[in-house]
Amino acid sequence: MELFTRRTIGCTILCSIFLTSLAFAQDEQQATNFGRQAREGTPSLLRDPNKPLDQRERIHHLLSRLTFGATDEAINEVEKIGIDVWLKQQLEGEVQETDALKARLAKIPSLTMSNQEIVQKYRVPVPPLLRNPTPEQRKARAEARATHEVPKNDLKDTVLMLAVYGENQLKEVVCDFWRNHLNIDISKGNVKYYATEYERDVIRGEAFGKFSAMLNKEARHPAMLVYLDNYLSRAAPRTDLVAAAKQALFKTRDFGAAMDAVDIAKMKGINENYARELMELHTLGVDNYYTQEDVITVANILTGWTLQQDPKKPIVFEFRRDMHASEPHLLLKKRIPAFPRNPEMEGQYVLRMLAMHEGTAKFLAYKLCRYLVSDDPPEELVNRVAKVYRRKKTDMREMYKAVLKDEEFYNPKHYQSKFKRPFEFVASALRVTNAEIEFTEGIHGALILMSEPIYQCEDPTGYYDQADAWRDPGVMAPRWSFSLGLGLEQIRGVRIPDSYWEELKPGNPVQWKETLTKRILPGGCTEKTSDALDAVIAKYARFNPTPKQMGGYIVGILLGSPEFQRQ
Amino acid sequence: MQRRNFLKMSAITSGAVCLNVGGFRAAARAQFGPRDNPVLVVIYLRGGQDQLNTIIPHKDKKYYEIRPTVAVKEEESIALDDQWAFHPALEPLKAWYDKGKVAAVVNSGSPHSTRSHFDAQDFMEYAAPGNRTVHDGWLNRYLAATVPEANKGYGLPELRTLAMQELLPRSLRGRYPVLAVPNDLNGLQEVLDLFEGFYAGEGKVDLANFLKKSTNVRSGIEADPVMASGRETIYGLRRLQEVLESDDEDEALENTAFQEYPAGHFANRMQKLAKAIKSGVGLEVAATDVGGWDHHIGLGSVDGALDRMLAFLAEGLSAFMTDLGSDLDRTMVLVCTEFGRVCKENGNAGADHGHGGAMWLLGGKVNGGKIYGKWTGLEESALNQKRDLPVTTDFRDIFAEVLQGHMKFDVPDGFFPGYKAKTDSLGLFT
Repeated sequence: MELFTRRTIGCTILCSIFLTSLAFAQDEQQATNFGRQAREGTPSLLRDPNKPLDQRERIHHLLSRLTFGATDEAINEVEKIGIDVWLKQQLEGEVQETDALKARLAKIPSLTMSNQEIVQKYRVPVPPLLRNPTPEQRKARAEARATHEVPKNDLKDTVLMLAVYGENQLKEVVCDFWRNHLNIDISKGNVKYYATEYERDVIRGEAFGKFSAMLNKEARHPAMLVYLDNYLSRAAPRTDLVAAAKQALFKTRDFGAAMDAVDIAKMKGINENYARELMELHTLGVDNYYTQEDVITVANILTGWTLQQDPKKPIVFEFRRDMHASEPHLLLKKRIPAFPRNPEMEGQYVLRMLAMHEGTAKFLAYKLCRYLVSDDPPEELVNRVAKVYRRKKTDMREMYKAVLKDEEFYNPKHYQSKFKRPFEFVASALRVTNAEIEFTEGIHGALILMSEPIYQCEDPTGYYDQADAWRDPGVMAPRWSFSLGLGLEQIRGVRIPDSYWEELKPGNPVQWKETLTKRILPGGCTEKTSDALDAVIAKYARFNPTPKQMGGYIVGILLGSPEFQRQ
Repeated sequence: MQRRNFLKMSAITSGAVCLNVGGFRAAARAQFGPRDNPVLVVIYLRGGQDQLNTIIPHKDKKYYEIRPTVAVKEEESIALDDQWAFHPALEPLKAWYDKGKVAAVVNSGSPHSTRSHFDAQDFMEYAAPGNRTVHDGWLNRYLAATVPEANKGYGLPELRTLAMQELLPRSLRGRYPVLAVPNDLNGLQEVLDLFEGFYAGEGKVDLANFLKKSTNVRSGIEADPVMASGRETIYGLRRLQEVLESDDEDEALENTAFQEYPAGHFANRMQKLAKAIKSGVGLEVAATDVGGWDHHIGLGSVDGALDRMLAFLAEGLSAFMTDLGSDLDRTMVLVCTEFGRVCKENGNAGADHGHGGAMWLLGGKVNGGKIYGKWTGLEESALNQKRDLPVTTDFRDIFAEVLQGHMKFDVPDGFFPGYKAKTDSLGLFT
């Protein structure tokens, strides 16, 4: 049961009726090029990459990739019930969440609000910033700005809480995948007021559904329409509309809404932004199958796909016929049928066609394998997964299964070969320490220092999941600070519960080290790490620390170790 | 458990080299010789900085007509000559302009017509308008193409380049490894020391060789890339801290003690850069961003958002130039933005995304005290799409001239994809 559902999203006028009329696009075989060179991963420091994984290693691998942080305890549990049972539960995504998590999310009102409710409650007018403001001016401005941030902060907290405390870890992991695949940035314009619903309906709502449905939803969602500018895209300029929009909206003094509406009215023609990203990033992959003419064609077809602009009404998708360019269209060398009575159907037809396209199957399969298996996934695996995607009519649960049931998934060379992204690193550190989070500022702050704040990737590519996007010199420093800060409880609002130290026997540092290493690095650690840890413990023993004091250091160091950066 | 104990302990544990500041600088100089290499600092104003209210055509009636509420009144602006005036917030730069150390190029920008911040910034920072296959920043390409002899067979800890922010700007992204510097370096020393034992190794790097490899730069540096990244983090940041924490008795550094920087991240970063440049450790390229120039609303005249932002920019830059002292002669600051803003103000005392904008050059060898760029006036017929300043100087003309004229780098064909360097330079450098 999804935790923060609201009303079911209105009519998903899915063009299933077209499904029958639409044959699979059988383009001539084209070399698939995802515009990226092969990426190297981070091979395990610990084992021979040719020796097959034993059962425990298989579980460790599975949990490393499908949860935010594999612990020794979790491995034991899966060992008990078996991989298949665990997978079956997780693929349903309906494991009961803990009461603590449910209670916590229930306290966040914006999670269940509509776009319109969020705008009305949180988008209050902000006085301009002056060079020498009076204290009152300063305060009024700060308060208004803080109010704007509320829904955005609520959303970030929710994503974080679910990743750390959610019982449906596989779901959280695939949501993380889709959040980046269909990226929006809450720092851009009004996106922050629409992102909550986007997460709820598009990402979480469709993570186990069909990609064709998810694509149809994201294309129509106000958050995406604004983020990639399609709400502005129109057939021809209409000066009369500019004047009308200005008159109507400046009266309301709601600059945010006025900006959207006036910008739409002023647009001089099509905006290619969304059309391009739709094919480049969401479906076919960069420069695969499509040309610049196709981008323009799709942009034309999607003119008039905008958002409802009357601030008194719900902020939802609206098809505006007066903004739509009605022309005969040829896309990917195929004729797109005209729908004179309802030209919105042209766009739906195109989305369906793109979702079912073999290029999309390959691109999604490639990205999913890259995310779950290896920075440079084997082509045969990608092809197998792509086939399942098309055979199962874009069903994503089937696609996940195809990856996870494939023996290639357990190829020992993939074991611990992925470098954790900052979000994965932070979530897993909090998980393996059973951390209790009272406030989240310190965690979000750390994610900014590590360059991966939640829902704030400016680039429509989303955050990259390959190691070489994250290993720049300098990046380890904030990870180490966070690690030690967490171990020593120096991150405001975050603490490790006393129960975490209960197993540490007084006066026995060797046992402390062994216990904590097993918990945090269930795959073991290198001799170098072990030696360095011994050196720290030996020096530290002089201060006669309690298990918790010493344990804090050991935890901090283990979280900052080269081993913990991998999954 | 006391933090102090931990600090003590960690220092012992790692057996870390304690700071030996004077010794370090002497060693640095002995190792590299006194550095007199040219330095380029690139500041990116994100959001589309407004040219018209910054470098004001103060004798043009049309300016006051099309900006009835946000125009800067003639008596309030700082006249440079019969054509141009500075916004009053740029007062700290006026003296530098008069000394010939500051220049600007008006109506500059990209030949690509996009009004998207994202595209325009990408295109400019990759220096490849309209080309989406280029994913190495122009500064990174410069660094990769010019690995100095001293770096061959040597490790990365050389502070040749710094990104003064946690995220590398796109201009510095690419194959050449660049150190991203956290805003807050306090307390990092202990952390670096503590983790050294876990990441240290003996690897030495032949950087030039690695750059020749078509794949990842770091693949050959150290068998394990995570270990390598950790080690580079330790050495790079430690080296930077040593430079920043060195005392100021050295003659070359003496200005710092007397130079007042304003508050804020920007000035703080500039202060760190000044120190790194003066320390003679071979810093060549640095970059930092200043965000928040997207003034759709509340741009204002002399009392709005632009006023405030120009003030802290100008104060920070002026302090930086003073601080550099004689090193200003080898330093060049290039200030860019993705586009300017629409000439006419909009209904919200702001201006929407435009096209042509201003770029700034500041430094000892700039042929300054001049406003460059072809100005075509504000008549509607002369504007881009009847609304924006047209682009009369391609930003690549400026980038190329900076690399050629200041960095003494012979820009090879293809360095700026699809662009041929102009034979007649703008004459930006003395």
